[in-house]
Amino acid sequence: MSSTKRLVYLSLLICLSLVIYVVELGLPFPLPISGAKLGLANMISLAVLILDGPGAAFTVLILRILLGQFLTGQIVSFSFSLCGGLISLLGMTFLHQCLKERVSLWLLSMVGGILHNIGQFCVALWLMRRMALLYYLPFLLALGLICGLINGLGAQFVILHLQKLKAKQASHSFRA
Amino acid sequence: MSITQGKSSFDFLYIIGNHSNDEIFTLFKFHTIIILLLNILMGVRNIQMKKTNRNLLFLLLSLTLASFILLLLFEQPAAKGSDLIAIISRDGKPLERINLNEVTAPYTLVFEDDQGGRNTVAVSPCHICIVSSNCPDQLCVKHGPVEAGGPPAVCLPHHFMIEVISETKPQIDTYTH
Repeated sequence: MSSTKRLVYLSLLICLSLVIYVVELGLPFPLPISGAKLGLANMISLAVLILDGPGAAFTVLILRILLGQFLTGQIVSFSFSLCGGLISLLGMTFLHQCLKERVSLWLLSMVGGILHNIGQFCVALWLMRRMALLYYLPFLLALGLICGLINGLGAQFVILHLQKLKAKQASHSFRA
Repeated sequence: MSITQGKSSFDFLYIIGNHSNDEIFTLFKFHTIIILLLNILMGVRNIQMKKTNRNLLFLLLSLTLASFILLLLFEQPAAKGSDLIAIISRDGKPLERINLNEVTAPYTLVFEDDQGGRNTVAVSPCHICIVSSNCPDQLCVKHGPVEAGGPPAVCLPHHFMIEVISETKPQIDTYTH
């Protein structure tokens, strides 16, 4: 892919995950845990990780978090999003590089979900410095498992359609 | 005489009845989650899928299960006759330490940080809760009264937290010996 095409392709994906991120903030989440949500925007990062490798995935993730802060103006959640997102993507990259095809997508996403919540929990622990916070950890782990599963299934659809897009693009450039 | 005797023989029933509904509910809730997870864990062993996937799923589920079991083990309901101590902290620094058993009349406290975040805490005998806050999500207010050994009330935007611990009163013997 030429650098311009890559730029446009990645911006499109960042835009996609930003829209998901902003729309999701408007949805109410029934659990009484601060900042708990499905994290559907992460399915784009996961799809990019599978299709274009870790470099593109980290670009999409970090730019999505930065631009998301500008759009929503929540300074509090910045460190949480960044730490959780980076830890989760690092873990998923590691697992994907080590096991390649042997690990299925939704399981990869479950690991990512759990790591995301562990990362966010570490930030919370670092900010509050009280061990009583550990009470929430089991619930966060279970939540990460469920949200990861949902994200993994979503990422499967995203990958299906992005592959179609890429095939079209390849044939187009071949003709031109 | 016979009436008092009758009452004392049913003392154990009174104790069971006096056990707050919430405690039983909490215990029941955790057992349900643990049994559910255990069932899934056992079921996973028989699912047909790639060996790596199955092992990984098994690992993740057992991690979650272990954390719930640890929580159940460490969570102790407040013992009768012990002091309920509420610790109010921000950024990990304790601001206030209140013995809830010694509170006689209800009062409110207002905590304000340098960024303008304000939390109002209502204290009454054996009872503490956050009544109002100017944070966006209002989860600390929805949390309601904080129970001993239960989840702490957390206001994440203000790094503000209330936890209640139960401290057993020092016996006279410990001083005399």
